[in-house]
Amino acid sequence: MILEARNICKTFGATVALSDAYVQLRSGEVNALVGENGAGKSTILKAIAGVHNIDSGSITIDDKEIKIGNMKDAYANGISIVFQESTIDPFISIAENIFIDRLHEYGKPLRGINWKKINQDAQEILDSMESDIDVKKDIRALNLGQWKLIEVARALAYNPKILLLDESTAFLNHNEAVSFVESVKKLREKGMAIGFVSHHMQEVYDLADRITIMRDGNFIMEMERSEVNQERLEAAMVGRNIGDKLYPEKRTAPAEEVILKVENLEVENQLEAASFNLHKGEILGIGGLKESGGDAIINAIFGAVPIKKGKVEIEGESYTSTVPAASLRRKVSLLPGERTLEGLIVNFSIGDNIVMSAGPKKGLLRDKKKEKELIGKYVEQVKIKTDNPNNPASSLSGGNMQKVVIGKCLATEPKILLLNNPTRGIDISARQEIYSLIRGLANEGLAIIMLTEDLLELLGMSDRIIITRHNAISKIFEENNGLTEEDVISYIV
Amino acid sequence: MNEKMGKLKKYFPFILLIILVAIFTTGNSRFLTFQNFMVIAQQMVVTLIAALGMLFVIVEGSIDLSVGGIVALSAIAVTMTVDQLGAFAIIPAMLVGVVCGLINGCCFTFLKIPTFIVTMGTMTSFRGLVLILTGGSQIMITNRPFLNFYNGQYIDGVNNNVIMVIIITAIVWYVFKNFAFAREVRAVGGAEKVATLAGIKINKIKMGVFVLCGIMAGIAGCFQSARSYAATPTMGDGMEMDVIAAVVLGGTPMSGGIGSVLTTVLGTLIICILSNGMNIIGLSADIQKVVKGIILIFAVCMTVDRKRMGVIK
Repeated sequence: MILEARNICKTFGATVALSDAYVQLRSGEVNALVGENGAGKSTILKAIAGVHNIDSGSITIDDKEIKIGNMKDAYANGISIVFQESTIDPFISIAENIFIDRLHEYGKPLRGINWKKINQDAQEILDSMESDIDVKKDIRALNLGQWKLIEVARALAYNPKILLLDESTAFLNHNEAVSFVESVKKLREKGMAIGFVSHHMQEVYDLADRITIMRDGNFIMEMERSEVNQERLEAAMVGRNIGDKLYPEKRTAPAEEVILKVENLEVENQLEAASFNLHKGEILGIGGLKESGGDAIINAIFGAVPIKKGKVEIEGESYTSTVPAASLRRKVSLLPGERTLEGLIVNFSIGDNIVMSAGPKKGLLRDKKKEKELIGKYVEQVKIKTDNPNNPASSLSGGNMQKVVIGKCLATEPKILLLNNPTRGIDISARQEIYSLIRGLANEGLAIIMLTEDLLELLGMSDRIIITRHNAISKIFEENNGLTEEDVISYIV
Repeated sequence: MNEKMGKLKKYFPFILLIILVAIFTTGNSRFLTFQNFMVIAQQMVVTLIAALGMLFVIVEGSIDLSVGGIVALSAIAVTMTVDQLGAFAIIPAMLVGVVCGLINGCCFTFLKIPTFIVTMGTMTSFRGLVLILTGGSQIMITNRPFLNFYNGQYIDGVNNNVIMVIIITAIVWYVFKNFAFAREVRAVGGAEKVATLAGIKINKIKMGVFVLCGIMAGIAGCFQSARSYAATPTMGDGMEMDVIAAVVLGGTPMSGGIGSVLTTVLGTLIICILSNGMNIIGLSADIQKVVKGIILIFAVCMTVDRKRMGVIK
C-alpha cells in the first residue's frame, strides 16, 4: 500500500504553511520528515490526517484519489495521527483514554461503561504493541513515554494502515524516547506505514527507512536511509552548506582566573554535593539527561531554587542567592530554558523585553534615554532581525526571540552568564549565529555555563565539560580536545 | 479577516461611544447639551478615580472587587474627621485605602489566594464594617469648607472636583508612562515567571498595585461623600462593576500586561454616558443593571487575549 500526497498547498491567513509539499508513505516503512522550524512537517501530517483542510493538491492511496475533509474521513481511509501535545486525561482510566472518542460503543446512557469489555479491548491493543502497560494501572503512575504509547494505542484502535507521529518524542526524556522508538519499530515490522516527525536527528537516523526533506512548505527531496549523511542532510534542510563551521573555534589561551567557585552545592531532591570552578572567558558545558542535576546547578546559582547546603563564591566573596534579583546585582544572569514561558513576554515589544531585566531607573522614574541606548546596542550586538524594536516579540522567529532573551541577559552587564539549552527548538542557521555570539562573549572575558541536552552541541561548544547523572556530577572533563560522543555517553547513562 | 478584527478591537470603544450618543440623542434631545455634559463629568469623577487605581490591578493581572467597600469605608473616615480637618479629611480617607489595600495585597501575596476570592471576601467584610459603623443610617456632612472645596466652583461653570480629577488623571498618566514601578507592573501582568527570572520583585509589585488601588478608592470615597453630603450604608454598592467595566471597555484586557490611562478615561466616559443616557430616556434601574451586565461581558469578549493557537509547526 502506498499513500501519496502531491502538490499540497495550505495557507493560514497570510501565512503560507505549505506551498508545494509532497510525501509518500509505504507499508512497513518509516518515512521521517525533516526540515527547519516552519518547514511544514507537522502541517502536512495534519493535512493528511484531516486536521487541516488543504487548499489544493491531491492525496491518493494506491493511485486511488481519496477526499479527506475531517478526521473521520481519515480514519475511514485507515489514517490515524498522534499529536505532539499530550492529549491524555490523567483523571480517567487508561482504557477510557484509549477509547475516549468511542465510549458510547462501550455503554449506553445511564447504564455506565462495560468495564470488562473496554479493559479487554484496550489491553489487546496494548499487548499487540508489545508494551508492558497494564490497563488496570492508575494512569498517573505512568511516565510521559508510556502516555505517548497510550495515545498511539488510541490511534491504533481505529485499525489504521497509516500512522502519523508528530514530534512524539519532543517532551520525553532520553530513556522514554529510546523505548518509544523501539515500539515504533515493532509497529513497522507489522507492516504499518509510518510518517514520523522529530527534531532529534539521532532518532531519525535510527528509525527512518527514507527521509523526506522539506523547506519553507516545499518538498525538497526524498532520500533512502543508505544515501543519507549528516552534512548532505543539513545542507538540504538549510539550503546551503554549513560544513564544519557550525561551531566556532574553541578557546586556545590557558584558563584565566577563577570567577565562580562552587563547593558541595546541594538542592533538595535535585542535586547532591556538586563542586567545580568557573574561569573567566571560558564556556563550561553541562551535559546529561534532562533533570539529572544540571538544571539544579544553574538554577541554584541563580537563586531560582533554594540551596540546601554548600557554598557559592563569586570573585572570592561567598554568597547564597535566594532570589533572582540578588543574583542580578551580583552580575549573574540566566537565560531560562523555556523561551516563551520564562525568557520573554511574547506580546511585549522587542525593546521592552530587552530592558526588562536591566530596568534602568532614575530614582522612581524610568530612565528612558538609557532604555533606548540599551535597546539600540543589543539589537545590533546580538543581530536581531527586525526593522523596528517596537514590534512585538511574537513577530520574530524562534531563533530571533532567543536572541532577544540573550540581549535581555547582556543588558544587565553580567560577569557570569548561565545558559539553559540556548538553542532548543531553533533552526540550524540561527543556531550557528547564536553559537558564534556566545563564543564571542566568552572571548571578551565573560564566564559562561551552558547546560544542554544536545550532545553534539555540548562537545562542539564547551571548553570544559561537566556531566551529571542521577542528581550528581559523574565526571568533569578538564579538556575538550577531540572528545567524542562515546567518551561522554558512558557517564551520562 | 484577522487584521480587520484587530482594527475593530482597537476602535471598538470609539464606535461604542458614538453609537451610544446617537441612540440617547434620538431618545431625548436634552441629552446632547452642555448642562448634561457637566452632569456626566460630575458623575465620572468618582468612577474615574477608582478606575485609575483598578487599571494598575488589572494590568498586573489581578482584579479588585472590594473597591466599592473601600469607597464606603473611606467616606465614613471622612465623616468622622471632617469637622476637625475640613478639606484635609481626604487624608484619613486615603489611609483607610492604604490599610484595605494592604489587607488585599497580603492575602494575595503571602497566603497565595487568587485575588478574585480574596477581594470577594474583603468586599463582604468591608461592607459589613460599613453597616456596623453607620448603624444602618446615613451620617451627614455639614462642614462648609469641605463641601465648598470639593463641590464648589472656583471657576464659574466648572466644578472643582472636575478640575481635580483632571489633575489626578494627568498625574496617574505620568506615573503609568514614566515610573519604573509601572514598567514592572506590566511585566508581572505579562508573565509572572518571566518577570521573576528577570529579577523583578513581584511580591513588592503585587502589594504595590493593591495599595495604590486602595488609595485611589479612598480618594474616590472622599469625593463621593462630598457629592452626597453624607456617608451612606449603601454607598459604593455594586460600584466595582462600573469600575472594572470602565477599565475593560476602554480596551484594557483582563489578561494583564497591557493597558492605558487614556483608554480608561474613555471607558469611564462610556459607562457614565450609558448610566446617564439610560436615566434620561427613562429606563428603570432594573433594566439598567441588565444592560450594564451585558455590556461588561461584551467588553471582555472584545478585549481579552485568547492565546492564539499554534497554527504552524
